[in-house]
Amino acid sequence: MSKDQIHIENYEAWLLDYAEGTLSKAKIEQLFAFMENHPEFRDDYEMVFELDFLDRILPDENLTLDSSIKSNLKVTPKGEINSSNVEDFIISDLEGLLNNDEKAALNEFLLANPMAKKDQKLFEKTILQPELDVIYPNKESLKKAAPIFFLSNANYSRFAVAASILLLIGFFVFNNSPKTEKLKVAEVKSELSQNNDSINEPLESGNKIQDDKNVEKNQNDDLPKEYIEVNPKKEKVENDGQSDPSRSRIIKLKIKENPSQLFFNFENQQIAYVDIKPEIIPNTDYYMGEELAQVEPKSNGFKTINEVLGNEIDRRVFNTEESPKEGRLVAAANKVLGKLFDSEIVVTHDTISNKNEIAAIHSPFFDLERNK
Amino acid sequence: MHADGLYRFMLKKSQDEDLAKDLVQETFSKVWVKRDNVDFEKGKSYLFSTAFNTFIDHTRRQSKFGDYDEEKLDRPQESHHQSDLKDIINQALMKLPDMQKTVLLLRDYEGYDYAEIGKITNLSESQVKVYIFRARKEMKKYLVSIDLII
Repeated sequence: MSKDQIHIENYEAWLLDYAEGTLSKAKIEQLFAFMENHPEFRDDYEMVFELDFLDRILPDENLTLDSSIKSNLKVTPKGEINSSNVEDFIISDLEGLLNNDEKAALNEFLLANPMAKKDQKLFEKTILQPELDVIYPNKESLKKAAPIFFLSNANYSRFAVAASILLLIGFFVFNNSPKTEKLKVAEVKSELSQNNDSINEPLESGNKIQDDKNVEKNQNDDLPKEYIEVNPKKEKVENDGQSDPSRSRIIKLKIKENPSQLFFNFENQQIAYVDIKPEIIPNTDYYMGEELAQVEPKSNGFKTINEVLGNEIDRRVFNTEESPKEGRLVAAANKVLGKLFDSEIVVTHDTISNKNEIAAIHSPFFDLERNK
Repeated sequence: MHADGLYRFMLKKSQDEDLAKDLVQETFSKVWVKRDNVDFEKGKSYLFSTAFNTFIDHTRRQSKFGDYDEEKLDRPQESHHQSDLKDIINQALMKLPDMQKTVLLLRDYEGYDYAEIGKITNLSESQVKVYIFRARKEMKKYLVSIDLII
């Protein structure tokens, strides 16, 4: 599916573009046609078009919604108060968004309109009052919260998953050592993907790993020496390399829920896929590796994440400079990381260098294999 | 310091005392781990942001394992004391979609401005405002309907 055509995978991005005023006229027509054909996404449309409504009722024609957001959200209703917009004025008043003149105009309108005055009373009741008698019963426990939490049975599985992910991240970090010290990449045979969650499982003779040095000689010089090749399952190729005695262990980790963070190297750069929703840190810049999201196939013929996971991962959504909206970043990150659910990570351990590295990621949707 | 406010927030969202306690404890645990990276002045905001995401994580997990009763969160609490305004307001709140409920709680319970709520919930300020306006209108609509019944 092309990114120039609207469809159910990208309509939210188009809506956001529309709200920001960056959608072309041709695309706006496409968007409207899509909305007519897909009324099931009405809630999403309403969000955007309510914004648009607020924008249109601004008195200053030069003040676009985008600039209004930047100017600290001056999208309060303005102009003459009437029965169709009085609720917005009342709420704006409750929210402290009206100036003195607007307050006076509202009060004048309410005096002349008893029904609106009744509405105002009802809206005042929508301001929630905290129930101060509700208190956290055991504050002392919070001072020692971490060990108590992690040791509770209810959270054990959660902890186990978190620990697995942390281990995984650790392995990737291990992998970020200087290139000359790194293991050369090896292809892992399909036997490695058999279901076995055990850690520190010895490498069996049937699980052959290609000799690094022989492979390196055959490699195209243009190819990066450190990369993870992405292969759709249907194109997975068996490789009968020879076993490498220096690789003594195969460690398998199973991702049992979406990882919150996943690091790995790509073309000598550490790429961080970050799902910022679970652990969003305010005012922190998040980087997405756009190299993996490129639209054009790489010159070396290897597939990109984008090609494997679906070409709807727009390059823009990975680039925080071009698209600073965290919402898009989250959507994109989730799209990638979501595919890693129920994946199996195969890690090789080199006894000589005492380093670990990812050999493969076997997902229900795709395989990533360190190759050659 | 913010345990009570956080507990009230979680309790309103989860409608489950035990779960709210667990989530508060989990939130504090997470923040404790990240304490070196948290600006003291933004500590409360960070706490609520973590709480919000912890709750989302929880609902995702429950949904994934099939034991998450989505209706439970949307369903107003049955009450035989509908004349009690506090109960009615609570029912109106429980009828709101989760995000509207969240922004309203952060606004009214904690007094956050739109920008702060936006950071906590990962929404734009404009979206926060729309959600708050929409939430108040929905609550008012509910109050009118109850008013007509009574």
